[in-house]
Amino acid sequence: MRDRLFIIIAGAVVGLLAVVLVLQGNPVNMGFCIACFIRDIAGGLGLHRAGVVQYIRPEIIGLIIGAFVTAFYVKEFKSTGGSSPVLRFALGMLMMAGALIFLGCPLRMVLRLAGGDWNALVALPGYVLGVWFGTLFLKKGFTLGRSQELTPVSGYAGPFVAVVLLILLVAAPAFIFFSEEGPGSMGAPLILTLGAGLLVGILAQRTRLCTMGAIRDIILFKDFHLFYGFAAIFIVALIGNLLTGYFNPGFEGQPVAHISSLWNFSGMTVVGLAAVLAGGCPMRQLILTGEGQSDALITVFGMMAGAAFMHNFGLAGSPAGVSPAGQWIVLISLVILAVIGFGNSKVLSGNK
Amino acid sequence: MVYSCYITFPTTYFAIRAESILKNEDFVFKMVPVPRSISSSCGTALRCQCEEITRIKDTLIQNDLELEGFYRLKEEGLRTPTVEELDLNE
Repeated sequence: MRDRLFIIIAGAVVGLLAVVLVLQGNPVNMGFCIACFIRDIAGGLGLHRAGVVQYIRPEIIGLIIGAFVTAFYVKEFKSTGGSSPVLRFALGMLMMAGALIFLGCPLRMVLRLAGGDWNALVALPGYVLGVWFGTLFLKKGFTLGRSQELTPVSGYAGPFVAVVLLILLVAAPAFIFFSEEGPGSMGAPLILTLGAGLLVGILAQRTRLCTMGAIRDIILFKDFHLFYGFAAIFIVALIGNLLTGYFNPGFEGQPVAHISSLWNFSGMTVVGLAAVLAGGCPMRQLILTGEGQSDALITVFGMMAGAAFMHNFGLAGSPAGVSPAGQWIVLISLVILAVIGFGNSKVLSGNK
Repeated sequence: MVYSCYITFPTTYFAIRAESILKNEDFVFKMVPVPRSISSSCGTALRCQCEEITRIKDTLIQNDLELEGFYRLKEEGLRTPTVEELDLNE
């Protein structure tokens, strides 16, 4: 009862903030998008040179620091790691690859849906399918291995990276890139975006809000707890968009979106499967990073590398659609995910 | 005031297996997310009646399942639940 109330509140706050951030300058249907924002950070650091998506997004910094401060305060900060780091890095890359085919992480999928972007309605069943594939591996004993307790230095690495990013953002030295046009040039004022990130970081740490867990728990145990948070994001964002005139139903002409249904669907299948195997959606990885989990930080680094990879080689989707090379990436990602899934499932691999 | 008992697992795999094993027994139980007051991690726990937790534990261990922890929670409406870790090891 208590937990359920809190997760609904957390979801509602995320939905509300997403609408406010768009009103204050964030790209439409992108009040929050973890994958897009990590991609923008990769661009801001010059890891890719897609000029329209380069900006060190304060929301991401806020999420990590918010989760860190909360976890530290309630004594849940624990430095752990060492569970299949290379595979987690790869899962982060693949999660980002799928998200940049669809043009959004699961959180933005919900926000796009709440903005009337029906392409997200096509992507949602793809995401559910990906999570369902993931649960098949879980049922066969999939695990990346237990993490171990590490020295505090490892745990502080995530929050440290967040602080460094904040310094780079504020100091804005010449080697940091800031988009002058496109989505990367659009952002609400720093105080708002950083504050929104901090608040969501706190709430998500307290409630374990996770867009992958929401679907996974329904499939595995018919448990709707995390789904209540997921649904609250949608409902509040939908109401907010209706009230502010940002609800524009349709497939075509949607902001930062394309209409290739097959790739919207399958891109999110990649994200769903990768998120189950990595143990959390992109947002959850940031929260776990704040709690001191090096495994999650490695996944976040994987996402940054994935973003650089997708943009440097012209693989990411764009309003024009998905290039043939990008389409191949979806197929290759699914094959790699299957290999990781089979190889780490006790029953399937014969490993103990 | 309601008391519930919880068993946690090292991985989701063991939670899934626990459910399939206990389905064939006449225990009252439900698979739920690990209560927030027990852990900040996002695993799955088994909620059961406290009178049955020892017998459930024995059944699961007989089936070679790995279990992580045992807890009793006092849940009162919107108040923070009181968590008591149980020591069920002989």
